Order: sequence, then C-alpha cells, then structure tokens
Amino acid sequence: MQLTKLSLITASVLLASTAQAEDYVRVQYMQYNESDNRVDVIAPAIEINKEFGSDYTLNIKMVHDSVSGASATYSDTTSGASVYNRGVVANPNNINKANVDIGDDRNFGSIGLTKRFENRDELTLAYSKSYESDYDSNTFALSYLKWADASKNRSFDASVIYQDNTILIKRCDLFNYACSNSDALSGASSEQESSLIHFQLGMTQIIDESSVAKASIFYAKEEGYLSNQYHNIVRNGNTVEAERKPDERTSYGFGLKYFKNFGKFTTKLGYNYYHDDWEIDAHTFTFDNYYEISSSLTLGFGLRYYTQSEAEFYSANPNFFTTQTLASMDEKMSDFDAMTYKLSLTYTQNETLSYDASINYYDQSTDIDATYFSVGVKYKF
Amino acid sequence: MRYMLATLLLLSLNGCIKDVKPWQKGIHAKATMKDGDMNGLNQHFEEHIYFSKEGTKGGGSVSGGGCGCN
Repeated sequence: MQLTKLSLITASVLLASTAQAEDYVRVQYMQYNESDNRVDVIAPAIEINKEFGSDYTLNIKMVHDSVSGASATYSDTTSGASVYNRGVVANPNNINKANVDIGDDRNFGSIGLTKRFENRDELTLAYSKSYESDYDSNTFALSYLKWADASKNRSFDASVIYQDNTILIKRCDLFNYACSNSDALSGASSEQESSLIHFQLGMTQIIDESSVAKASIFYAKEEGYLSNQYHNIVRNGNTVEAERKPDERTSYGFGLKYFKNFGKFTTKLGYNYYHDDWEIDAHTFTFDNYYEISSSLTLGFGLRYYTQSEAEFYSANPNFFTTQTLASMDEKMSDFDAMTYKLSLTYTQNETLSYDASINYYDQSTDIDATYFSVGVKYKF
Repeated sequence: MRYMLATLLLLSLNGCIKDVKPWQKGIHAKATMKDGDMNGLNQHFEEHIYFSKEGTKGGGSVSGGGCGCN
C-alpha cells in the first residue's frame, strides 16, 4: 500500500554496487518494526554479482517486502472509521485520527551492467522494477565514471535516472483530484502517473594513501500524481478530504564525504543538503565507523542525523485548512528531525564465506521510532 | 558546485593532495573504504526506510571512483 511505500530506489543504491569486481551471491533477511505495532516489514533479499572477464560486471538484486500494520490519518468516524468517508460535513467530535490498515506485498528487482573501457572508465546501465497491488514503478539509470589522471586519484562521474510510476487510485470519486478516467466518476479505481528525472554530477579525489574526499551535486524534477491517496486532511474543522500535494516538485542539493583510515579503524563523514520548491530544506549528517577487531571480524557503528523544514502546504492543525487547494497533514511534510543509531558485525569465515548482522534504531521527533535489523551470508565463487 | 569546488580548492591550496601511486592504494581497496554500506542490500533497505518516513529524496551519491583497482 502506498501509505508506507518502500519503492523508490535511489541513485546511490541502483548505481553504487555494480562496480565491485568480484563474483558473489549474498542472501539477506531484513526486518523493520515500528513501536506500538504500527508498521512491520519483513524483507528477504538476494544479490548476485558476476564478473565477465575484467571489463564487465553484472549485478542483480531481488527483494520481497511483506508489509503489515496500520498507520494513522484523519477519518470521519460518523459511520465507522474509513479513510474513504470523505466530503461530508460532520460533527467535529467525530473527526479523529484513526488507524488505516496498510498490509501489502512488494516485489522488487534490479539489474545493472557495468562496462569498463581500455582506460578503465566505467559505463553503467541499470533497470529496476517495483510492483505492489496499487503501485508499479520502473526505473532506468545511466552513469559514466571518468578517470581524470594516470594514477587514478581523481575521477568525475555523471548519472541520469528516469523513473515512471503508475498508481492505482481507489475510490477516485471521493478524491480531491482531477481523475482523468471517466470510470473513476462511478467510484471505480483510476490509474494515475508520476515521473521523476534525476541528474547528478560527482567528483572523487584521493587525498593520500589513507583518505579520500567526494563531492556531488544533484537536480531532480518530479511530475504527476505526487499525493498519497490514503492520507486525509480536515477542512473547516468538520470535513475530511483527501490530501492534495502539488503536481510538480523541483529539488536540488549537494553532498560531501570524507573517508579516513587509521590502521584498523576507518571513519566516514558525510553531509547532504537538500532544497525543493515545496520549501523543504533538509540536512543530513552521517558518521560511520569500522573497527577491524581481527583479520576476520569487523565491528561497525555509526550515527545519522536528519532534519527538515515543513512544506508550505502542510499543517497539523485540523482547523487550519479552509479554501486552500493544496493541503496536506502528512507528517512526512512536517518540520522534524531524526536520529539513527547503527551497529553491525561482519565475520569472514574463509576466502569464500562471510556473515554479517546489523541492528539499527531510528528515532524521529514525530511519534515514530523503529528498530530494524538484518542478517545475511555472502558466498564468493 | 561552488561548495564542491571550494572544498577541493581548499584541499589543493593546503597541499593536502598527494600523488598516490597504484601500489600505495592497499588501504583504498579495503571494503571499509567503499562508499556506502559494506552490504548493498542493507543500504537498499535503509534507503527505503528513509524514503518512506522522510519528506525528501534524491542526492544519494553515485559510487564514484575509489582505489581505481578494477
């Protein structure tokens, strides 16, 4: 269900892992649990990386997500709590936040091929597909890495990503949106589209034998249906309606990273700035560390801090919205910050087998906090 | 772009950037020096969580160059 959709694969994930020059199969079990039993996700996954000579790398990932639980949004409870009780003036006492069932399954797959040229420049092509009962997403990515010097100490990279999404909207007749499908007027489901195009330029510079710095800039444009069909707003304090976000979004930003090794200890610092024309500004700070306890055991620990300002069309106040066309009470659009605490352990049994486990705690200044963990095995062949 | 250039210019002006030869890049070839999570599937899962719970997306860095040993 789109309410907790886990479907967008970002540039970093789709393009980052294809350049590893080794043959392996990785099997992983991942689980996400929010407090108060709100949302639970179970996600088994498999990854295959295969070299063809020294010039080609093929990377395939497959994930199955099973989502269960409930999420809160405003509902008119006059005739029972349903997200679709919309558009009727009600007694304000009957308008409450209620849990909406968000159970769904998602299948995700990606395939990426990296070609290395004679000068070792890299071209990567990737495709991914994510499918749920009400959401179908196709992503195409292309990136090029250019070495700038003979010692390969400096490189430039450029990428472009295009994503096309089809969203199946239920009960379009009760929707604050111009349904193009005439069947929708009768209450049937209606398909809506959205798309994303994302450009990124980056530069990597080796500083010395033990440190490296990276910098990047990005620009992205989204168009189409960008609202969440399961999120409601309250208008005039007495009427529940579906939320309505803008049909366009333009964003840009930059990122900086610095990695430094101190013998058995490696630390990674990162910062990302984000701005969009919904007036959201966001800052992300990352601090990841790895300590090699022995030749076969590596401990990882890290922190991530994220903060964002609220979108111009957001309010948490049920009496705020009156005649505004654009309106959302989605907490993702609010002003909040979040901290992630990370811990991981990787054990290498021999040259072919290694195991890893990680546990993370995510705490948002809204009422969301969650624990997610992962266990897996990697087999090199 | 201005910030990126300014950072690299700063490093250059300080004489921080060394001409590291290929045989001096053993540390850069370590898995712990790889960009992103050491486990691509974990990174995938984590990115999804942030996308699902936060109001922004985009700007995740592409792999970029590293040890230059492929």
